[in-house]
Amino acid sequence: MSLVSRLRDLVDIRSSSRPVAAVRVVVGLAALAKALATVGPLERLLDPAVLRLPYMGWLPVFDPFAVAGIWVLSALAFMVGWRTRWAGSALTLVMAYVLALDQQMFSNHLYLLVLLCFLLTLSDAGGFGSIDALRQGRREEIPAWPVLLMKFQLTMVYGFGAIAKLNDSYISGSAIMAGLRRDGFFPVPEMLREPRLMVALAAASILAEIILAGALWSPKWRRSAVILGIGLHAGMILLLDPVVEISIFAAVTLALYFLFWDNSDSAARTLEDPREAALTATSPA
Amino acid sequence: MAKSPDLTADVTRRWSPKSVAAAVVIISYVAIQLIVATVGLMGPRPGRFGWQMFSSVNSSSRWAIELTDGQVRKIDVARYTARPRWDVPYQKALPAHLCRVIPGALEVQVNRDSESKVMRYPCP
Repeated sequence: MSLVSRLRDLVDIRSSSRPVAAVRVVVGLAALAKALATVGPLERLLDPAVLRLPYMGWLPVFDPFAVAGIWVLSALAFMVGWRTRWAGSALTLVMAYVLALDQQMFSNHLYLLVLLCFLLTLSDAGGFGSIDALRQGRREEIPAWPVLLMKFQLTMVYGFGAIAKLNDSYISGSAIMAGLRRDGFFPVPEMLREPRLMVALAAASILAEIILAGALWSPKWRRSAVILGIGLHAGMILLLDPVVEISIFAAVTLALYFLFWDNSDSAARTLEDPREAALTATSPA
Repeated sequence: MAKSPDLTADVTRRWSPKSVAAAVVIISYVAIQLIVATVGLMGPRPGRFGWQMFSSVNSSSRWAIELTDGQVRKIDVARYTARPRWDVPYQKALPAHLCRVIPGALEVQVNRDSESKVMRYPCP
C-alpha cells in the first residue's frame, strides 16, 4: 500500500474523545498557571533598562495585563470546554504571541503548551466532558490524527531530550548540579550534592527518556513506562528549579500518557494495515 | 491476485478539501518538528525549540562595568534581562545594551568562571 493511501486512511480514523478531554483540562490548567507566571517577565520587557531580544522587531509589546487577561480567560474557557474551538484558537494565538515576542520568553513548557493547544483545538477536544458537550450533545469519537500527533510530540520531547543530553556537560552531572534547588520549596540538602550521585542521576535520566520515547507505544511495556515517567517527573520536581515551570511541564507531559491508553490497538493497526483499521473504525459497533 | 470490491472502493476514495488539509497538517507538523529538533542538535546546547531541556549548563559569568570616573561596578544581570536563561546568548547583545542604559559607562567586563581572562567590551 502506498504512503498516500496510508495517509488517506489515517485522516479517516476516529478516536475516543474521553482521554482527549482529560488532556484538554490539564492543558487548560497548566496554561492558566503559566499565564500567572508570565505577567512579571512580560512587564519587564516594557522597562527600558531591560534588554530586548525580539525575533521579529515589528511585533509590538502589548500591555502585559491585557495579554494575561486574554490568556487567563481563554485558558479557563478551554479548560471547561466552553466554545472550545474559539477558546483553543485564542489560547494558542496568545501563547504563540508571547513565545514569539522575545528570545527570553522561550521555555520548553510554553512551546509544548502552544503545540498541544493547537492540536487539541484541531481535534475537537470539547466533544466530551465540556460545556459544549452539555449544550450540543457529546461526541464519543473525534478525528484520531491530532491525537496521533500529540503522541508523536511526546515521543519527540523524550527522544530528542535524551539525544541532546548526550554531551560532557550533562553526563558529568554538571547540568543537574547547576539546576538543583538551593532555596524555597524543599531545597536539596548539601549531602546530596555529590558529584558521583549527579553522574548516576544524569545516566538514569537519559536512559529513562530513551525508554519512555519507545515504551509508551508498546501495550506490553506501557504500565511500566507510566511508573517510570511518574518517577522521572516527580524526581525533577523534587530536585530541580524552577519548580513551578517544571511542575507545569510534568503535568502536561504526564497527561499525554492518557492518549496511549485509548485506541492504541487501532493506532497499531493503522501502522500495520491502515485500510483495515479505517474500515473497522468507520463500521458501526 | 484480485482485489476485493471493498478494497478497490477504499483505494479509490476521493480526497476532500478537509482530508487534504488534514494530510498537509500531519506531514508539515512531523517534518517541522523533526527538522527543527535535528538542526538544533548541531548548534550549541541548550538551544531553543529542540527539546533540549537541562541538556547543558553554561559556565556562570560575572559582569561588571567600568565608569568614566574610573569606578568599576558589579552588574546584576537579572536587573537588565526579562528572565535570565541559559539558552539566550547574552554575551552578544547585553554589553551594547549596558553601555546604552548605564550613564557614564566606559567598558563592560565579563569574567566567565571557565576562562581565566576577562572579556572587555568598550562602549562606543
